[in-house]
Amino acid sequence: MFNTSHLLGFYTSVSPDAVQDATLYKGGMPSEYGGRISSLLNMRIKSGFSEKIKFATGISPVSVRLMANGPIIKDKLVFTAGVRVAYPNFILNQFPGTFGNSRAFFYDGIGKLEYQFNAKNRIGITGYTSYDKFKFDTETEYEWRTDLVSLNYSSDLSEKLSLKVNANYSRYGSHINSLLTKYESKLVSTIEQRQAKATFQYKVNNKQRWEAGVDYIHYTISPGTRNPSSDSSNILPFSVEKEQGRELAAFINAEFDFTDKISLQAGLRYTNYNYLGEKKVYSYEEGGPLTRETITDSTVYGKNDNIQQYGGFEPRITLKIGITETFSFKASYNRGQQFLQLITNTTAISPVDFWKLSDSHLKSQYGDQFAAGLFKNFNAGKYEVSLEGYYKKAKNLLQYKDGANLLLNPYIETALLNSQSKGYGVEFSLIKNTGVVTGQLNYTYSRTKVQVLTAFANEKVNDGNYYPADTDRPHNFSITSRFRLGKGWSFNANFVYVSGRPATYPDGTYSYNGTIITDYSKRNMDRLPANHRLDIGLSYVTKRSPDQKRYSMWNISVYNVYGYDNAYSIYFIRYHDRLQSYQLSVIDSAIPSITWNYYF
Amino acid sequence: MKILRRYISFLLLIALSGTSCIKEVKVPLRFVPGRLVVEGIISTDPGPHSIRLSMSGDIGSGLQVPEENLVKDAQVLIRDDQGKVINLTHTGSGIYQTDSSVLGEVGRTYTADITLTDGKKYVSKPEKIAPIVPIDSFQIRFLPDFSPTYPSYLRTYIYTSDPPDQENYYKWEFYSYTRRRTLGVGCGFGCVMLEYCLQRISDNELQILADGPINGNDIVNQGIGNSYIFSYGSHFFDIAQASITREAYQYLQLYKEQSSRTGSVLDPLPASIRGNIVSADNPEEFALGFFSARSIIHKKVIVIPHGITQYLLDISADAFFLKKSIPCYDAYPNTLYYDPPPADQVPPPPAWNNADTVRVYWNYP
Repeated sequence: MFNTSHLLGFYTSVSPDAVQDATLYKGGMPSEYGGRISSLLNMRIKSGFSEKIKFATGISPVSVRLMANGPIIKDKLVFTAGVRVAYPNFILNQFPGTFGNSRAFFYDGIGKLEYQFNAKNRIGITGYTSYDKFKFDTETEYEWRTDLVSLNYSSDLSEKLSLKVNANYSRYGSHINSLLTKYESKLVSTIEQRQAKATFQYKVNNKQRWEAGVDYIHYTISPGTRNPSSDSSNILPFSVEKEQGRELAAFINAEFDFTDKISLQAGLRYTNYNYLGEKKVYSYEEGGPLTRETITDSTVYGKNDNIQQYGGFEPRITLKIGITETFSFKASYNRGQQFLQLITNTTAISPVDFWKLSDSHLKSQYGDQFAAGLFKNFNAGKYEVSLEGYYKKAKNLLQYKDGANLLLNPYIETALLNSQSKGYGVEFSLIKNTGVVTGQLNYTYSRTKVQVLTAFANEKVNDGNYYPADTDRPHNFSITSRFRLGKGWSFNANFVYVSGRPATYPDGTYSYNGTIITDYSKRNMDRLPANHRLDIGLSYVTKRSPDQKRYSMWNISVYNVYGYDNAYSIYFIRYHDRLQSYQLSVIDSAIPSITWNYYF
Repeated sequence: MKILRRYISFLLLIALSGTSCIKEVKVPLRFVPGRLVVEGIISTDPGPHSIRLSMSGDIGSGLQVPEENLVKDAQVLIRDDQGKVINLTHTGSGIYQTDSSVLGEVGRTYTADITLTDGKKYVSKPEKIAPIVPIDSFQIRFLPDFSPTYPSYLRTYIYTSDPPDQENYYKWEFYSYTRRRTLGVGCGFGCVMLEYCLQRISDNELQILADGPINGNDIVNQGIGNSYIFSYGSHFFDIAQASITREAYQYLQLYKEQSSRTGSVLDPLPASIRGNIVSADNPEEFALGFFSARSIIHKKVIVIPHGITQYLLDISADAFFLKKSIPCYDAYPNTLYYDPPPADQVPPPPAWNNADTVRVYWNYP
């Protein structure tokens, strides 16, 4: 999935009703997963294997959701389906005045159909679609679309050996609609992924499991196409050539439980990547930076011709040692490779991003991560405490050049620079699982820094030193808590505090050619204000016994209780002799909401 | 039911007032010590040639460079690749000028050399003067505007053949003298003088082009500047085409993009515009600005109105006629003064004595 949330992080991208469970791999990445140097969130959709069809629905003034799962043919053919629509749009249009301009809208739908051939074979197909619309100001409107379909087949070939096959297709598009009179246009960028993966799992005995397989992914990226969206628009159509790439990997993984206290997981993945035609590839003068003016030649490659190849081994190893029954230690090392990167402009009023594949100018990325942690349970699992640390280095990440034009640039390699990053952090977590009050407290201190590597002095960023990466957030603190008040009532309160994003502010002014120029001599050396907010909620459930089939749940909640206007971006505009700074906030007041959920 | 509906509407109102907003904020700004700013050109035009030095200021600086930021006591030289050293002397306001006999030559490479009073030395990267590319032809078109805020104007379009065997980078420059008018000064019964004068106008459009996409083909219809029509009378144009280096072109392109930032999502990313001037001790430390060496060819043209009467034009340009009884040359900046000639005969500026004349059809549809 290429977009991970709705409304810029306000809602999750998949309705929680439809999710069975989610596993987050921060370190210790199994070798069956590759293609990214970051973490992995694996969400499993609820299964329909139950006695009868169950429904869940929820209605609030701004959204409605409906979910159903259950058997079509009991124990043979089951389904899960859900749809969710948020329409502040429609309601806002009913009010005159300031509310008349629609601001946000989204929907998502998920469906899963599974067929159990027999006790040993099952096939399932999952589909997901989502759409978001958001308007930052009167002139620009954003739309994001995701469509994905995934086929899963699993077969127990013998008592010890099983096979899993997955094939999926995923498409993500981001649209920027310009509504400025005479310049109405639509700018679209898309990424499509087609994947096929087969994994054999062999369970030698209770203490040893092996896994091996192959993984194939094909990417097609359309970095940007702009078309006029009205007859009176002055905009000319323009598009940047599509690009294609393919990864083919083989992996093997083994898990050993040496004793009941010591277990080891070791794996190796080899991934081979090819950047493919059709494409026109430019060559540049040697011994100088890549610029539009130093293009010497271009070569046209045919469909599926190999333009550039990268590849390498990715070892993975995780060790777990149980020191006592309740106290354990875990350590891991991963190497990952990544053959595409998200290019983001975070200094505009709102972000614009698109994906770029590794090619003959832009090398593939790889990273190494070391992690270790201590985990302890208290009072038979009532409390869980953990302390984890990590260190991560990555090479060949892409950063933009000073003054780069990222959008609609057919010579995108002239706008990008090679860089490396290092990151480290410590995470502390305390969880209380049982009792009247339950909850979690998490604090993480982490830094991520990046260093641009270039031989040419006029391309250097921050004098070639390490500087905070766009994702650097030194402090991340959160508390979630739930109070069971009895008789179906419960109260929850969540507080989050996250350091602000690094920003590039102007730091000088000078005169050239009769005009005033604003200078930005350093990048990311400033920071947006920290984001923090408190959300509270009260809920009442009418379910009185575990087997009560129909019940409802009322939620009253207030998001951002103290109405803090968290900065989304800060940008500068020069008006003659004054430089003005503006802050854009997405939510600037408390938002109360009431939802009625019904389960049957 | 009515109460419920009212209650829900009230909740909705509160819920939806929390929508996105933009507000002006004060952000803590870093202080960075002032950096040297160099603006210098040496060209094939007759001298003097100048280099202006100033220091950059903090964010709050206004349109004019503050006095204390002008650098008035530096030692400024231009060296060529044959060992010749050209001295520049400070003539005021941070501007250093060569002798008027100094002339840049095509094929020679020039380097600026600046030493500040604290001993810090800056040198420019060498700039070679590219061969002159002549202007093939030009067209002047009349572009009417009916608003009282903007005058109609004449716009010049250049046609040039790009030499196929060279890497060419172009910069066009344009200024003109256009006639202005006031009520003039009385000189006796029924006599008025000093009603008219010629004002120098330059929009300072930045028109540059790299020949990469068109190499060897023709440059057509390249608009390079406007001359505004404020009253009836001939216009005196100076059309210039300069050949600049690749580095100068890249600098100006970046400058053009950075000065057009509006805060929208389609803006280029903010950047420090790196020029070609570095510290002599540390070539990775850049000064701001650029030192450019270029060849330039000028064409002087007299544009004569045709197809419209003074009466009609004076009606439509009425908003631009300052109705005060003061001499014209006092009413407007950058004007040429003339001994009181007959009111409607303003002589051409001396440089236009041998200029071509062009008749351009001015007509309001």
